[in-house]
Amino acid sequence: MLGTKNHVNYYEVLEVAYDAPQHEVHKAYTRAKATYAQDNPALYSMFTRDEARDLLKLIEEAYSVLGNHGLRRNYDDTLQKSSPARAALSSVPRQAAPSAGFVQDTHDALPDFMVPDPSIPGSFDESEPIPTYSRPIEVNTLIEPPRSNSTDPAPATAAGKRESILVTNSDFTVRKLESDIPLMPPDTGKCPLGTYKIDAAIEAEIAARTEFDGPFLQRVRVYKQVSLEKLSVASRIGKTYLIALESNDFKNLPAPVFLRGFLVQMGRQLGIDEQKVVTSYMSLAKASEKYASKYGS
Amino acid sequence: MNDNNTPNPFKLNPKGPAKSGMPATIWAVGGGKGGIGKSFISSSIAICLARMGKSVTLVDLDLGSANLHTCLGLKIPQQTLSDFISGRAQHISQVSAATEIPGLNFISGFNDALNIADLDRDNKQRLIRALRTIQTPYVILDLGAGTSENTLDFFLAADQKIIAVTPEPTSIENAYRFMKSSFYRKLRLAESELGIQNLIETAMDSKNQLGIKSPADLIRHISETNPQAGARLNDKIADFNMQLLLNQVRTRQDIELGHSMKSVCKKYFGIESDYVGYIDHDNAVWQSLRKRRPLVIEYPYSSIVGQFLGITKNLLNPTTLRAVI
Ligand SMILES: Nc1ncnc2c1ncn2[C@@H]1O[C@H](COP(=O)(O)OP(=O)(O)OP(=O)(O)O)[C@@H](O)[C@H]1O
Ligand SMILES: [Mg+2]
Repeated sequence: MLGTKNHVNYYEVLEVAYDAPQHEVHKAYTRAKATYAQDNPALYSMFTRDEARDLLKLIEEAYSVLGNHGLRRNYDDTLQKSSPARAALSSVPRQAAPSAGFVQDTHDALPDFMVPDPSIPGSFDESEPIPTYSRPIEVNTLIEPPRSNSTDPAPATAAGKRESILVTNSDFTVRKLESDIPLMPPDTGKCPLGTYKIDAAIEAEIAARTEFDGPFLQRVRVYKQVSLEKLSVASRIGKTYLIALESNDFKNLPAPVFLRGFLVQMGRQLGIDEQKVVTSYMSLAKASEKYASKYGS
Repeated sequence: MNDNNTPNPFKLNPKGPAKSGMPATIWAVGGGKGGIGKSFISSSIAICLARMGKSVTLVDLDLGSANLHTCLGLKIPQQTLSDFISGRAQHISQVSAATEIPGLNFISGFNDALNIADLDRDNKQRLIRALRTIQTPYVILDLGAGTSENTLDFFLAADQKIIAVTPEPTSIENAYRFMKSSFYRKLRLAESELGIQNLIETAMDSKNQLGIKSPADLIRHISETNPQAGARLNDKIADFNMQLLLNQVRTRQDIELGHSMKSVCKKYFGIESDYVGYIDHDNAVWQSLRKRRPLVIEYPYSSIVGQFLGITKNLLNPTTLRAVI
């Protein structure tokens, strides 16, 4: 990864969800260690021995942090701070982007929202003191200099047309190909969950908007052609919560700490300003009597 | 839907194109290496679907060496895809035959006169479009060995892309080669669709300096240099998810291989895949083949059939797999 600013994310290294309970982290670690062990046939032709060794190091490092409750919490805080942009940069957004805000306290949690509520004293395991770091926690850059075994030059084809090598492997080479398939229409908009046809008026309205209430969020979602199901899968927010959220049904929404996470997710997945969504929706919720009386603030 | 209860295994379906408008869901079974059980797997999954009450059409796309009918215990069919390709049959349903298994229809592959390499681009497109119009909700494609462009395109056309692999190193290697080939084909199609050839080209020109060693690195690099293009590219390849199926396992270690391969795929390609399950190595497989009776029918209560049923359920509902880690 030389030369790129890309950072490794420990959750991605261990391939666990951001809210995975501790025993899953441990299981993932055990499995990852076995996977990248030197003699595993599953590596063959994909990773060299050196690469596997470096991956193993990274796996150990990731587990040394995520495997420890306190270290993990601190790491989550760091992630959260360096957050919004990174979600968009992570390799392929199939795995739902993390909602750092929502995640931070749910690790040992069981099903989604049956989690300890931070507003209830004693509902967290306080027994483990949060350690201070001797070195700053930094997400490190992926190791390993480039491999130098593929040296094929771009061949000149018979027709004299320039063909460039797309990717070369030890066993085959893929060259770039001309294609007559048309480009995407210019008025195609894009949000993390898909594409839609741009409507300038609505775009302007969204950009100008400062108050995001449920119905407006729903409008944005529908405009961007994102189904509830899709949003639910990507954001890991249950559909019933999404429905409550979109209909300003405050009494059925979770405690503020989780609601905030939901809103971050929602904003992110719909490609709108998370901060505005969180601020305006939270103040709406808190102004609601039912919500305020339920969560007592 | 075809009438499934007909005793004649090769009764032709006279109906025209599907009118329901719901395109069929396509599952393809590929994997590169020959003789690892692709035909056995695709036929068994198709029968399982049929036994679960779903209508399904099994298509032999191992053009040139089609032998799926043998796995089903059928005689050599009279109408094959050759008739469709040559235009003798107007609609694909005309070469589809009901079988003795209720709910299961079968489309036979080419006869020996034709080869998959002979299928030109137009005919391939026509065939792929036609597969979607098949009237059963599920269509299972049995692909041939190798990584020919046509095989890759059938694979990429599928909604569920099943990679069959056995624990032997040669099979694993070929499975990866098959994945790489189809991934790059997908990438090439995506890049020209998005008009971002130059981005990929530029990145690959200096891939050593940039430390690009895998597709995951490449896509990450593009996302960093041009987030917009990166996002669109990600979007395009997001549906390139594969379902790993391990066949002929004998040990616990073999079973773990599926998890390992899933992780390797994630780290190498940067994409999620699912490990949908494994099938034991069992002599009953060739015994049933020799009897020309599908194993799922012959030994319905065997553990292999249980494994196939589990796999079929996973394939029907892949998101539940991904939810639990
Ligand atoms: N789980 C299994 N246990 C034992 N034998 C098996 C198993 N799966 C497949 N076989 C055997 O492997 C042989 C090849 O199977 P099959 O024809 O399905 O492979 P294939 O991948 O379709 O081959 P080809 O690439 O030639 O089309 C068969 O003889 C079958 O009996
Ligand atoms: Mg076969």
